Amino acid sequence: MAVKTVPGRFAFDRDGILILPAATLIIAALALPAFRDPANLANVVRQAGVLGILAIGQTFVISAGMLDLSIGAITGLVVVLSSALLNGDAALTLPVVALMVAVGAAIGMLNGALLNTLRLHPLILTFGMLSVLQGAIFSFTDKSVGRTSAPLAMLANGDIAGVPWSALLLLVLAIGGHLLLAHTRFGYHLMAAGGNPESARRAGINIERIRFAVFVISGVTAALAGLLLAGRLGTGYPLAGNGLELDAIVAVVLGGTLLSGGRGSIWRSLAGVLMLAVLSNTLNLMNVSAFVQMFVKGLVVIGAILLNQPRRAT
Amino acid sequence: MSVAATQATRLQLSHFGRYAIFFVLAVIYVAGLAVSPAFAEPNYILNILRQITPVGIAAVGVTFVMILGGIDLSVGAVISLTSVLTATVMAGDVANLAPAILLACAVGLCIGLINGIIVAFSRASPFILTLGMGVAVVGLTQMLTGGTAKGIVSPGFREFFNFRVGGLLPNLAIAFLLLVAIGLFIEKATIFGRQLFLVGTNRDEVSRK
Repeated sequence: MAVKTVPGRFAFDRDGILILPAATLIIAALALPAFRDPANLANVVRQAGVLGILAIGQTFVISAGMLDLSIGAITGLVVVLSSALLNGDAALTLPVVALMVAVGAAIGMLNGALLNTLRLHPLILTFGMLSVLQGAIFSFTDKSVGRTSAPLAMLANGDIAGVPWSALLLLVLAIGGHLLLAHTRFGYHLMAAGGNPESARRAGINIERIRFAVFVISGVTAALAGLLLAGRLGTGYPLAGNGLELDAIVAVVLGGTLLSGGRGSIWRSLAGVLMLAVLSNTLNLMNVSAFVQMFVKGLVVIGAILLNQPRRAT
Repeated sequence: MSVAATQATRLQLSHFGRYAIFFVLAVIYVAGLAVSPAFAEPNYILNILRQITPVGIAAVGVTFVMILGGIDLSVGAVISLTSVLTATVMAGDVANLAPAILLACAVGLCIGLINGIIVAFSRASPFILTLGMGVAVVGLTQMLTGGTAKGIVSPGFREFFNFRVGGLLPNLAIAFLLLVAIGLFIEKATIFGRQLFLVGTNRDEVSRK
């Protein structure tokens, strides 16, 4: 069952987690003049694009009480495949984008169908998919291949009137995702299925169909993230997607979504993504080494999970 | 993860499902035999046993966590950290053998203790907690090493574990089998082991009694 809290009012157990990203943002803005620079802010948003798109998909999955570990590998596969197929040819952009979205959707369908027929634990199933896809990437290539096309590079790195295209793309996807998750019958059923599958089933909700759908959504968003990442990198780097699934899960949880399902919001997940991006940008501006950054990120995740105490035992 | 769904799966686990892994193992072994006669040689089989020992020992510990319905994603990071610590403290000197081993065990114990305390006394999700712990520990390891291989183990340390009793059975495999036996004993023959299964099956129901 979705936890009902009065909308619009601040509830600590639901919104307390948002203090963390807000505090990071304010401290960074006050303490570091370089952070306030509009060009730097645009950069932060640009960096958040890939993770943001992944987090949108993962919010659907986690709200439905599932988990998808294969998204990083799907992203990596799309980075490599799209770059190899395009090889710098702008005319091929649309067909390749369509093909990659289809690939993402197909992998999502496979995840969903296997989950429903074999009744495997989503963690184990999608971890298996992650290994299979990583194997596929490396049997295809073990070094960077191909070149992305100009329109994709433009989408990833360019801006319009100082606003990055990738930020606009993320905004459009977030609005679409939010409407689907919070304002449709599908979204309502999804929350019910995530919160308590058995009651949802008894209420006549087809939870198999919902689980299938969330994995397809997750696969498609991972493909879009892969296209954007390919645009940023410029080439098909086989390790590009490694570990992104965990970052996306962390971002969603930082946003206050329970891993047990039944609760979730796209905007909160994006706040989580923004927090990770701001944190990494701030540490970069302070010249903190990548190793220390990793340590700090781990501590932040532990701190956030301690702050985010769900009311009910899971 | 949805509790009801996992319970449903648990109930559906038939006898066959529970022992499927042994079936799969046998099939893979037979397939291996068909591809290469090396799989029939005791030396080769024991070599495989030696290779899987690090993962195998970690799996003994993780089994307990998973029986309880938890998960520990930080074990890989802990293995990295303790192996780096062991090699760095040993610094190629036999005199440092004991301190290095003690330190590595203490560090592993501490990380497990932190994970355990947080999971036991808060409602934090073990998945996210140990994921964060793993990231932090990898970061710590990288800070210690600067991102490259570091340290050197004491002379004899490597040789001891690779030594084959009777020219056949590697010490490392013996260590693995010993730990598996201890793990099995705790799982099957102690009250603690029984409680693990009870708590893992239904946490609320058990703690009320």
